[in-house]
Amino acid sequence: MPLKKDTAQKILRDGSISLLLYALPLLLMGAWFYITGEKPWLHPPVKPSIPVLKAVFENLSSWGLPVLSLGVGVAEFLLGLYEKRWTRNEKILDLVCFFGSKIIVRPTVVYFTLWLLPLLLPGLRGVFTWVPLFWGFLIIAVADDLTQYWYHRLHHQVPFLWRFHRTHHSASYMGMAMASRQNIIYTIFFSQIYLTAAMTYLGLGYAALLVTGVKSLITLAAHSSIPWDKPLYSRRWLHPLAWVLERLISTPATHHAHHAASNDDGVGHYKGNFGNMFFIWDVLFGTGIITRRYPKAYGLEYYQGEEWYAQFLWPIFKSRKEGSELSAGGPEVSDEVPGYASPAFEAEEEDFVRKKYLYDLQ
Amino acid sequence: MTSQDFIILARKIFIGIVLAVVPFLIFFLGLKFIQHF
Repeated sequence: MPLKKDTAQKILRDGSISLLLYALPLLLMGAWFYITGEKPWLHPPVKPSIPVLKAVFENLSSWGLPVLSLGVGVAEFLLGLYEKRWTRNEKILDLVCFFGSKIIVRPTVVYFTLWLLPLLLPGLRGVFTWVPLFWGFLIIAVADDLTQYWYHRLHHQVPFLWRFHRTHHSASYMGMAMASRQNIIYTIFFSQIYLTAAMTYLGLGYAALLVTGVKSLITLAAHSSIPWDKPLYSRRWLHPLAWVLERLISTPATHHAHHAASNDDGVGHYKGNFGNMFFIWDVLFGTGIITRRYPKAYGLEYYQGEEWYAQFLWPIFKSRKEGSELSAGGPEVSDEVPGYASPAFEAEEEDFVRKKYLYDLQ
Repeated sequence: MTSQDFIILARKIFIGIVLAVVPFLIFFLGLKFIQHF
């Protein structure tokens, strides 16, 4: 299935703009040094300036976030948020993805950082430790999140990449259980974690630690089935804050729309709202919609409940479900196959035919 | 895995590398440039 011409043009245009966005924190930092006359590279700091904050974020990234997501997950489960949709196959898949990614990805990144980077970039360890924390935070935030935006967007817009990301969208529920649900190849080749690891090697580790902590909290909250943003929309005096927040970061409303089963209700936007920590990329590139509402249904309309191992390990293992995107010889993107009709559309059509038949009988 | 799967995987990895290397070069060269002054 070839990439559509207008999609390719938009990717090229937005990609070119992104080169400038990557450079923006550097341009601002350079301008700041020029105006103030500061030259921090001549006297780099020896120790991080906020050790308490460092300790908090170190604990958050090592054991804090997994414990937090498990805690919220148990609360969601007890509140009955998964109802009967959390079948045996879905449970195994969610748990394998949660623990599998922790067991496989973390050692891979550590190996990349400790062994491969010194070979690829000899003598460059810590060359940029002079970058002040504020600017380091801005640089890593843009580096990490804009790269993830592109990684994510391409997996939705480039047909041959979709099946690596499909697993994250096949869940018919939102919550901690599906937040880590990904095909293992999608997770292993996350571009932004290697970029951030390389920036850490160059000396921006402290900033990277802070960004990773803040980002994880925002993305976990956006995937949660607990709509923390709802009060912002119901109270008029909070609307200005809501206006800023929903454009700046991912909220449950905007991210749930991305996981909607359908776009037909005017709330769902599963081929947009790609932002992870920042939503501002979607605003800038016109890929987002903000409705302040939550979709009625989540997942994929054409989901066949493919085997957990096929979803986790495709294309190494394939699904046996006939016609599935994950089966041998299956379509790349089911709902873009010519002649595809959504189940909702088919039901509507059936209803129309039935009513017409009854009318004809009268 | 079929040969077609390997091709898809290779293309995916290539895109992933480009997404990491291009911003890395921007940041690395940009910071080196600022440090030059």
